[in-house]
Amino acid sequence: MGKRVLLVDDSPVIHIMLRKVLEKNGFEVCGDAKNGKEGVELFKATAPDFIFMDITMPVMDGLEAAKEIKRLDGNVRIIMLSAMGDEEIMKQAKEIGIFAFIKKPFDDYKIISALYMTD
Amino acid sequence: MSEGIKLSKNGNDDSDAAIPGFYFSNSVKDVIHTTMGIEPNEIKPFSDGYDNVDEQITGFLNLTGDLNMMITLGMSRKTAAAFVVYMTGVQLAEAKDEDMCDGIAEIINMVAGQIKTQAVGRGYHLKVLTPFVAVGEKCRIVYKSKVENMTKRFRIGNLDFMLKVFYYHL
Repeated sequence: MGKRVLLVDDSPVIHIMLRKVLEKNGFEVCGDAKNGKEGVELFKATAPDFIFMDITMPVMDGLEAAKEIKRLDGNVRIIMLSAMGDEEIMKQAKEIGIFAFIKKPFDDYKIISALYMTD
Repeated sequence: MSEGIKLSKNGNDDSDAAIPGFYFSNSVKDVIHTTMGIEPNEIKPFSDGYDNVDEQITGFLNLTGDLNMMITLGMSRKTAAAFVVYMTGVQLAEAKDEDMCDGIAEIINMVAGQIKTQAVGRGYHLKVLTPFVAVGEKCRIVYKSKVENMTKRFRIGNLDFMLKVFYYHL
């Protein structure tokens, strides 16, 4: 069975796009969360190998959710996704322990290479 | 910083333009190409920038900071549905209204992110605000006379869509 990936993004279209790339490349999507709070809950329930996390989301944003998840498990590999490449956000993400940061738009190569880079 | 700085209206690399017109075109083309795997062609807008594309679904988003502008991406439902199909691989019949709106919001957000990156490279600070999507027949944006605007029209096969940029001084 492939490595398990949790998707956290408020856009259903992004979920479909990511799922398509991941499943085509042998990864298993173990959960779909539409905000950071759901992401934290699904992380506890599914214990994924990787998490793709959007930044701007309702209820709880991606940085806050990533911080909470890293507090629960410091080894989990989180890949942040954002349409903005703000240096301040990237700095905060690095401080939390985010290994990879993907700027949208993404293609298959960006997604898969980020997974192999963090594996 | 924005005083006296104009957007390029004709798509040329005007040396006095805050963000040259082709930056906007390239941002749209890059986002569409990366997310959908297709290459839109930029074509000349008609003389009246309004009525040549039936804008039934329009994504719009404001950027603020050293420059203040609103960008919009307008298209027919047919084009929006095709975008969702290209982005996700779902069948055309399965492209739901909410997916069209979500897809257009994502596209305009990514285009804004690209424009912001290019503006930062030219020394401007910009903040990208939340995208919105307007849905309805013959949707028009009416603006004050002080607002400068630029229209860019794109075509993929027989599907057209429009990028509009409204630039203003606060």
